[in-house]
Amino acid sequence: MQQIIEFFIRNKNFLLFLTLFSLGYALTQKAHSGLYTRNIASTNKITGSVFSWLADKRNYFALREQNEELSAANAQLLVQYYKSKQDHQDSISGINLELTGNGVVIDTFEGRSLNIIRAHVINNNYHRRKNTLTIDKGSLDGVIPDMGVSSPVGIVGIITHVSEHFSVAQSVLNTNSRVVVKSKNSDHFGTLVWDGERIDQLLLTEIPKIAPLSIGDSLVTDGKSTIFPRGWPVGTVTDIKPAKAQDYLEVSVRPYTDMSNLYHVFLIQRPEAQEIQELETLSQNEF
Amino acid sequence: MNSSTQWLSISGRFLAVLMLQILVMDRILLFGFANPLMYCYFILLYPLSGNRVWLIVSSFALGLGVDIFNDTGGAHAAASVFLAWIRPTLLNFSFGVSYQYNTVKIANAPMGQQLIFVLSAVILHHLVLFSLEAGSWAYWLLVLKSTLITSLLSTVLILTAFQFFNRKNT
Repeated sequence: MQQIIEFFIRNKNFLLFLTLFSLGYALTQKAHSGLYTRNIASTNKITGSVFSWLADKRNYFALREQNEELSAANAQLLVQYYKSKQDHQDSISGINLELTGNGVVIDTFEGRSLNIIRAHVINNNYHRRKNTLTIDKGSLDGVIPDMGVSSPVGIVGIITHVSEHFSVAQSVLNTNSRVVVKSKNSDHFGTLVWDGERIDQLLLTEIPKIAPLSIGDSLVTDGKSTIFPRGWPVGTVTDIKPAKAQDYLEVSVRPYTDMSNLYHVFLIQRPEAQEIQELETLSQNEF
Repeated sequence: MNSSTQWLSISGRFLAVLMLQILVMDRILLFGFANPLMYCYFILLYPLSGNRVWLIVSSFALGLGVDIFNDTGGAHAAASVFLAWIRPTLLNFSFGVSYQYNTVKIANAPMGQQLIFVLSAVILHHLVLFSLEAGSWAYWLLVLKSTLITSLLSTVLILTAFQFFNRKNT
């Protein structure tokens, strides 16, 4: 017995090291699996308030740039609005913007609506393999998991965790990220992933060889995944190579959004997403 | 220096290093992926005669603090605990056994010895950190690349800090 106690006293430093190291390792593994504990994530109240304070201060220095980006996005929206007015002369009751508390609801002409919440990125990381964004809107503002996150120019990520006042999104710069996208000109679709290398390069995989793609083409979301609506901007094609698997292409994509310079974002929800998912699970259960 | 002022200066340095890492260093990204990690400064400069158990515990707390603000789970905490535990071996390796008799002051030692100490410590810390953070062997090349470049960056910063604060004390 005495020997055991002596052993512990003699090796207390090593045992302490081993205990704490294993604890750190376990927390890391937990973070990798995506099952965050509420305390060790930046949805936490303390880190959340530090980040919003910091984003506030930093924002003064980026105002000019952000304003320009916003006005550019506004201009683009206006153009699209008038274009659609011309295209659909007979259904002119058409697009109807309604301002709500912290965002807008866009009624599309097919009677379906799109909930959009305006938000800000208060913590953005892009130098890891599994990057996340912390956003200053939470469940009290109507944020729910699986909403899409987009900058004024293109998609940014998908909401994964929500607390009352903050939420965390999986960035497209995350090796777990999967987004279904298609070319603007055709309906051939593929999966957009990230290989963990460069923050200005994504990879479009699983796109068939016969898809009419060329360098410089615009890519948009496909709408099959129920997260982003169809036709939301993603990026441009920068390089096309045959993939290792036959009959497929491997396409390099530069996202429209500069992922290292993010502040104003929109959170997008398709209200019909739940209905689609319920229907799909129902049909899978039957077969 | 009596023990209560030493305790005060250690906790002051703990907070200063944590704030510096979160508010300044984590905003810096060189060459697209090198993010300097300066908080190792605290672990390296912990008093040589200080209590080792406290060094290991406070390193864990420091790492966990950085983790919480980076959403990295416990990778920084684990790497810091590892560095705290291996520090005596590194001290022995860089400065010889004489450090045990309290005759060496790290910031006053010859530049070559300082460099070996800081560089070896930082490389080990970063290697553990990036391996844990990557979470898979598939990224080993990326892990090595980030370790190498980030280590150089952190080492330069820590050595500069040694010189800067040393001059003020003497």
